[in-house]
Amino acid sequence: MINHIVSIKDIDKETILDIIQYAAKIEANPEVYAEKQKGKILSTIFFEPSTRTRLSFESAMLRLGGKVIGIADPKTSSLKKGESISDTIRMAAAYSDIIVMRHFLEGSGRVAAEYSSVPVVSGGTGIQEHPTQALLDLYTIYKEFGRIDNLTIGLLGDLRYGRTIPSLLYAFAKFNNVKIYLYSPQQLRARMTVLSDVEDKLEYRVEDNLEDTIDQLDVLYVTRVQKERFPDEQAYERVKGSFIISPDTLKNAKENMIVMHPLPRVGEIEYDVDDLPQARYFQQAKNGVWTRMSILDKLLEERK
Amino acid sequence: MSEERTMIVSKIERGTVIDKIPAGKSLQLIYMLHITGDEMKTVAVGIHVNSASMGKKDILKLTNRDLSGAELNKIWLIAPDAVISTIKDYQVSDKRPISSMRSGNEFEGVLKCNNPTCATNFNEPVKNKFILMDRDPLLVRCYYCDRVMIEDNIKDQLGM
Repeated sequence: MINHIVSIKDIDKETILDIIQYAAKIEANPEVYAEKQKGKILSTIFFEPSTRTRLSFESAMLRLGGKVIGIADPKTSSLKKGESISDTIRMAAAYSDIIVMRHFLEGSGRVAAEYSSVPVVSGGTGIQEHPTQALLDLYTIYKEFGRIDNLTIGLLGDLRYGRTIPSLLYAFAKFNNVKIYLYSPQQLRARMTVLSDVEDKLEYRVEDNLEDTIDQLDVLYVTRVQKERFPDEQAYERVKGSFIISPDTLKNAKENMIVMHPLPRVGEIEYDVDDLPQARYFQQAKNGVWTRMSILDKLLEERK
Repeated sequence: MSEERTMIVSKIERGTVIDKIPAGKSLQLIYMLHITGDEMKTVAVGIHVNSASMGKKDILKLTNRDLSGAELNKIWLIAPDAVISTIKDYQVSDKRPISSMRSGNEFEGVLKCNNPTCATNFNEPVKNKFILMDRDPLLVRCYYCDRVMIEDNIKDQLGM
């Protein structure tokens, strides 16, 4: 096991499987774990706003019988005054047994881990990575197919700045025969540095047309295409339509294909899709709690 | 007597010899080691010296000069097969390949990350750390933020 979770690159395949299989056990019998971390305290330190990640970590710790303290609004804390990551983390490590931190700077997770005497879990570091989102996504896929190996996954949307995308690619690269189709506007293609990290271990293709290839996918993973990423409104309007999923988009999809989205969505999946058998994004969000319980419990147990 | 011995003046009393530098790279090393000529210390530079093992090589003899860990890292980036000798009282007191003086592909203290949103650029007490990915051309990755820096960025920083 590992001491911190700041990058999927640090975690081997066995540990990933261990985390998701333990999440399944917790989900099956959550009451067994209800007092597992009684007396332990989680600090949530968010230098950047978050709803899902912070709430699901808090829910996870409370469901393990632990308690939660935290900074939810950077504007009201010393984070605003420019306190360094290292000092903030040392303080949080003194007050708690485990820390979840989100920060807008890349590299912040490794800095935090270096200065913490307790486990640090990244809740997202700039555009670099979002490792626990990737782990809960893998749990969702594993629950559906019973495996991660031998699947074809489509990643769609903002593959350049979406911080979960590198974490997902690093994770898939640890499994066997995973094929990745990458769909994005040209200016939002996955970063070369990330692709070059996985190119020997993962078969990936940059695809232009979802319609022609959707029948090959086991998973369609949709991310937000943000207006701010485009030079002007027109450039955004031109591409936006190609990255919106409607029931019609899915007409040629395999029956057991699933549609995932880390949420929040802002129109890229139409509400009509919610009732289709392929929609899995709300379950995916719920899986975040089980996966994060698994992560918190494993890291805390490791220190005993 | 070899060309090297005849060319590189006499033995030095105290200092450091950096041998087996790839031919033509010694001037880059001089810049990187901030040897400006103002220090009033004798420096002998051999460029394209005949070498039995390398064909041609460069060699630097620095009088009254030791190398820091960060300087060893800089030399290792440019001249991974360099041999470093420490001279005391005209004798070689220590002679080792640079590869045995440091380990792994990680190095500290040489470069700053050029990603403006890397945490190491924001008043944190960390030392910059990089991983060497390739040497020709140079390609390094920030250990903290994963940003890859190419040879041009690296040379700019090192004043090459």
